[in-house]
Amino acid sequence: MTSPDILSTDTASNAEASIPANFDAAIYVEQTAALLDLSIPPTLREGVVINFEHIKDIAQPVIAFSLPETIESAATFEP
Amino acid sequence: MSERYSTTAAGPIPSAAAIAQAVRTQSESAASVIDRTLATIASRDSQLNCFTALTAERARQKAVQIGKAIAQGKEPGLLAGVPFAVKNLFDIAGVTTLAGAKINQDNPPAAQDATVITRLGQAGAILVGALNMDEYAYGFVTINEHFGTTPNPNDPTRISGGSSGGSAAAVAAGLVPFALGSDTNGSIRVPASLCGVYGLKPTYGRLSRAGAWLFSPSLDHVGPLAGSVRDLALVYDTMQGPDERDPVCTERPPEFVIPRLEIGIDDLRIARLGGHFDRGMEPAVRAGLMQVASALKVTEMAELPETHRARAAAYLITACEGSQLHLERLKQRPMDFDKATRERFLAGALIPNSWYVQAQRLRRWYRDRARQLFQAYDVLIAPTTPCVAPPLDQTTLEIDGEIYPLRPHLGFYTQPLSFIGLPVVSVPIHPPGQLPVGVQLIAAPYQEAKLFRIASFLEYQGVIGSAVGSKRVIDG
Repeated sequence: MTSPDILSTDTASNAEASIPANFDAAIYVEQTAALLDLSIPPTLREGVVINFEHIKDIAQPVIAFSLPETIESAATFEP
Repeated sequence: MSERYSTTAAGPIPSAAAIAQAVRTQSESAASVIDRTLATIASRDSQLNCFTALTAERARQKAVQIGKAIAQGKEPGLLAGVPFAVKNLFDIAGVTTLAGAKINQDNPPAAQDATVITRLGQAGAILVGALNMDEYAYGFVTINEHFGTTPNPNDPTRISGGSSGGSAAAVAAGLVPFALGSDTNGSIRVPASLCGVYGLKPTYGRLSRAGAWLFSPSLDHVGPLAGSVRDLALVYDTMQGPDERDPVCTERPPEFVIPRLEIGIDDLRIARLGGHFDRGMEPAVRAGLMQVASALKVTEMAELPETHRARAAAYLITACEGSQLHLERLKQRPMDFDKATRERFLAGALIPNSWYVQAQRLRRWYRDRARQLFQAYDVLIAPTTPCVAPPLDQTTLEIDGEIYPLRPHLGFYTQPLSFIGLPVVSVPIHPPGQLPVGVQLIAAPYQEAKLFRIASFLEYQGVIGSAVGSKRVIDG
């Protein structure tokens, strides 16, 4: 069997609750790229969609993880 | 430990400590060291493909300056006459900073050196060139479409690791006694492990990144790779210190590790990381890890929870920040990116901001778990890479019946640790007749000295040691 590697110990139930099953990466890539004025060469389009699907799968255990509201981003800014 | 000092052109270059001693005592001039180093690189780098640029003229001028200083009785510096090279993402005055990218060849030369190069120069070290890497540091293999592949000096049919592969290979092959690299998700530690040298990823912000081409600023570190613990320590100590040019560089004063190398480890509480860090490795890696654990008398296991989520979050932050950094280039010249990076960068540019912010918040949460762990332990150990250096064309890795995509899996153990900025030294184990493996020594932030104490102990005991000078290293 092939392990998706980075996801290998995720809890599937949380992941399913986080990103809609009918999400269409191809449409998302096309629309978001247009919004950013990012022209994706036709020869790269399929690869970009595959890569975005991969990122989406990786994101699932992150966005499905419940964090207290008091946990803020780690970034600091010194005026 | 004493070391035989050789000035023959054929063998690997002596250690930085030995060269500095020889130059200081005038056993060999800095000019002679540089001539010999450049001759070795000229004769061997056509096979190794470590260097993308040489700074020969600059190096010779610097060597003459050091010679004059010594002749005048002046202090020549801790690293007097020691040659070194840097991953080609560091600015070198007068040289275009490539960062592994064809696109960058059109940029003007850098106006000044990166801060760490300046500091090394002030200590008498002599820069001889720039080293190959994965494009924009986005990779673990140093197979670069524009500048070629840097193979592993231990076996040229295998990868050197990346993205600081040129740095690790140059040290392992004995072309230079130390080199600089950068580490966002494991890019110093992975090639150090696969090539069999020492690699330090210091605490996030401990060393200035000013003048280094960034990849993912939240996670970017710079650090040294070397053939011995003492060399690694000498270089690290030389580079420490605040720097206004880098907004994340700490204002804490330097905490030098050299004076602490030989004070022993009796007071240190050490555990082995379990869970995520105890699965998915080849038997050779486990054997090396257990060798280190045994030498340190480690009996306890420690757990960092939710490590798979931490690793995923590091991936998201990297993809998002890296793609934002290159957004204009992705718009203007997408086909000029390396085929190994362009589709990943383009996809990363489309990540929703809520995913990114959640990943940053998870970073904070995971950091707090690590802080709790370091109340019970001073140092943790874990593997560096899940395997020895794989063949150049290998794409998957099978371990315990599971098949993993090879390239991302190389960062399996390194990525969660750089995610929260912990200091890590990857130490090499090089069993006779086998390929080297690395073990990570991990400490709480700013506790690098504890790592160096343990590394020094292990090296003295003969448990660890670099592949530099090994007969297996390919000859010129």
